Amino acid sequence: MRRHSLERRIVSPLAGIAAGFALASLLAIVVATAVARPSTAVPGAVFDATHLPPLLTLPGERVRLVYDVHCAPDGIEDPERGCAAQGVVHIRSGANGQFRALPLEPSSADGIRQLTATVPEKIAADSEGFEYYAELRGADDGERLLVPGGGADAPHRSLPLLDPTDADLGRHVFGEARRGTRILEAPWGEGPASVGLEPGRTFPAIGATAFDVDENGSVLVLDEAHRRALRWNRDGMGPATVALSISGRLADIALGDDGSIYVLESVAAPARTPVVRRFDAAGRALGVVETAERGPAQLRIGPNGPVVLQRPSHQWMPVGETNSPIEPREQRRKARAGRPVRSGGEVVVLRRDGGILAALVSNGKVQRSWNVASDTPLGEVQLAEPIGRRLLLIVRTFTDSADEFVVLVLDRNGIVTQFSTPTDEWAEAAPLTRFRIAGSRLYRLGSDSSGVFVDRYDPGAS
Amino acid sequence: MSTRHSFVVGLAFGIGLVMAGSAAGYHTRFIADNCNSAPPTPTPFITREGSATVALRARYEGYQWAGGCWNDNDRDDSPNDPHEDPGTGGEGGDCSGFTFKVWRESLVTSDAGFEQWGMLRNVHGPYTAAAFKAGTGAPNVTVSKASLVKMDALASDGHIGLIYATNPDGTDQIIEAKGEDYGTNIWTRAYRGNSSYTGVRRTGWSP
Amino acid sequence: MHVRARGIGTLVAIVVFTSAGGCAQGNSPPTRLVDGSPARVPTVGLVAPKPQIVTKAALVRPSRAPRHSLAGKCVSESHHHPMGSAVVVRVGTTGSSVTFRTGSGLALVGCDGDASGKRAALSFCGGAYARLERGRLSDPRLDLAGCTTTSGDTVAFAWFQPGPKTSSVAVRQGHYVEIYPVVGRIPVRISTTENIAAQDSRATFDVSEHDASGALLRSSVLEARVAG
Repeated sequence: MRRHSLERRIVSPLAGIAAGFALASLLAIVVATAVARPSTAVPGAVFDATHLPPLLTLPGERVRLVYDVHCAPDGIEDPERGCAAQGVVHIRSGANGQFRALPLEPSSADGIRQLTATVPEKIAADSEGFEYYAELRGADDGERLLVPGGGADAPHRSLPLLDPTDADLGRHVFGEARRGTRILEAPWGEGPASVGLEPGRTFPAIGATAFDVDENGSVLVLDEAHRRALRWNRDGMGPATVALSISGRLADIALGDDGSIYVLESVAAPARTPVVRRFDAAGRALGVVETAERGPAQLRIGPNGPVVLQRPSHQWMPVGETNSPIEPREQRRKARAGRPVRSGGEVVVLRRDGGILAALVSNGKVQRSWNVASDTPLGEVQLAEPIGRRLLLIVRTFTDSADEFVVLVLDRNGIVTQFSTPTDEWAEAAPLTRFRIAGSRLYRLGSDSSGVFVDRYDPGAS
Repeated sequence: MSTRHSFVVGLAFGIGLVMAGSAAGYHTRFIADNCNSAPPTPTPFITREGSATVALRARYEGYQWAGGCWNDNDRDDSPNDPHEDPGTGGEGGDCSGFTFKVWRESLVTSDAGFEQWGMLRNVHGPYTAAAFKAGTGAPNVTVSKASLVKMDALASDGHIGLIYATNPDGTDQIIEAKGEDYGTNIWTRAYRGNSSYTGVRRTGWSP
Repeated sequence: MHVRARGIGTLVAIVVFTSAGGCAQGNSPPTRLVDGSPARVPTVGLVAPKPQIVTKAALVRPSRAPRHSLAGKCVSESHHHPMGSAVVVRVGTTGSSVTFRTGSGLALVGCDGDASGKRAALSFCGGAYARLERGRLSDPRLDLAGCTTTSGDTVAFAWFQPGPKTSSVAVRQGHYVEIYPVVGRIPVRISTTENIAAQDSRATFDVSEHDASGALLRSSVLEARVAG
């Protein structure tokens, strides 16, 4: 009796543990072996190009089309043994007619191989502007690259600013930033009214990466770390939680006119492009579509639905219309240089050395334009939104030790309103998501060490 | 409890132990199976073009804290790594390890010369992002952010990324090893204007 | 970060090796800290190999730190604010350091100094920044890129998270033990010129923790790698 008891209490359980250990370990080995893939040690071919399109030009300027072309052959790891590429630009005056071919000539700058062409003066000076696309070929006439990706279907469009209004910001004086009215704030944390930070141990933390405001003044903040959005009503009451099936990771968010919530992911599955997800106001998934290009940068709502600024083409492409997704090939076909705005027309901006060119465009023609100069370096354009016939333009200005956002309201005579705001980016957000406009009010997303907040401004434009 | 019952309980416990151990001791075989410690190839010169090639070959690969080894199969071979654990043995560099290899630097901080590291050479280098930001080491200098060009870097206290292109809206396309949930890729970023970031340049580029 | 406990057998072996090595090579411990001040033996000896040198450690209120002091320079150069947190300044045999927690409590900031610290123009040769997870450090943030001894040897710095009862952290430095008093309940910035593997950008610190009476609480090996 004693021996059976011993066997039951000690031997059998130990034998079970040992067997369980062996079984699970064997299973782990089998699974690991099954999923292991031999890795590629041979360096692959490289063929890529970057191009900064002259979306807007000033009268009399010599316009050069410059392509940085990166080419390296298959199987050779030494990166200095690159390959030469060649190419041609197809260009036409205006937006109609035949393209003509201009050869791209090899050149270099800063140790980067380039292909360049000078736009013929007659085309560059055309009051309708010009359209173009490049066809690049890698070594041995191999891989082919169209820039932009839509080629002749959606070429780059360059528009001349025949009579821009000058606005000179001079040298920026830091330290006079305006804070605005705080309409909501939420602490970092794990609670129902807190906003999460992405896991990780490095600086800076990432959290509350984007927001949007509807026409009623309700604010939606993307709490991607918690896979949800937080909604506050126009009186700042909230937040209500909207669970979203997203991956997050520096995602952007936009509110559709019908209350739909769109989220642009920035990280794609292997060999795919990032996706835009659509949810209803309660967070139920309604659809998903891949972006046409690998580097979508910004999500907004256009007159017909969501539009995405896509790179490397630097074009705005619609990803949905009348609640139906637009597949990547069609996105490319419908690509535009400017952001289509709800009120109709487009806004085109180009940051160049020393300033910014901006234009309101309608039916392919510049309606109003501005040439903003600055002695202090300008960074990214956070917002460019028409308000009637004026333009609300928000741009970061920076030195090596300071930065602020400059808010400008511009009309045909120049600067109507100008003030600056702090940048307040303790946590990293998606790059172009810091401001939204709803009605005549401006909203700014900010964060500090205690949490996230939204401040509101009245830019005084009507 | 019967003998059979106690065996089954023990079996379940044993399986549970292995699973818990596996979760706590996550470790891919990527570094062990693929990476080496081969010496670098001294190189008489480097160009930004060449470094762009090194960077583009790391694109779409993984991210590994303290890491510096990747292949070129355009996928993260060790996805879902626990965050910032140097022991997970996964594919990819971290942000500073990626920059070290792209800039083809020496392990000797007083040496500004050029070393070509193989993709599968597991090397991180002596610099953290903070060290790059401070311009520490002979090959690294801080420069004005407005003057940065392709293959220069923007570094903060905890991150560094390389400029790949500038965009019409004033942002940059940055090629960076961003984190385990991101891998290594090119994204639009507004680092340049952000005062947390400093411009950093590798010395000695050939034209 | 990898910290592994050492068994008592290993500790005995190290004690024997250290004692034998010290006698055999005739090495004597440094007589000065990097700021030129005398290196002192601890008033309460630790249960650890000898000789032992205690480093200087001070808690400084940032509002009271002179601008040109180590604490003042670190706070202003780092562009992070300790807010109400105190700043810990340490001076040891191989390096000096400043550590503080940011006001949010979510991050740790460090400035590392080497032998040049004793000169009139204080400057830092390195630094580190780390996020804290629930108040705890998850990576020692090894820094070995910019700091050297006067003879050009690399000085490596790392943070060590002491246990709740630890009063002193002792680091084996070859032929002597360097003692870091725990102050301010934040990770201790330790430094060494030993066991640095430049090829792998890693350093190994042989550490023991002691209570207020000097008794050994635990021993461990901190294996730190440059990352992030």
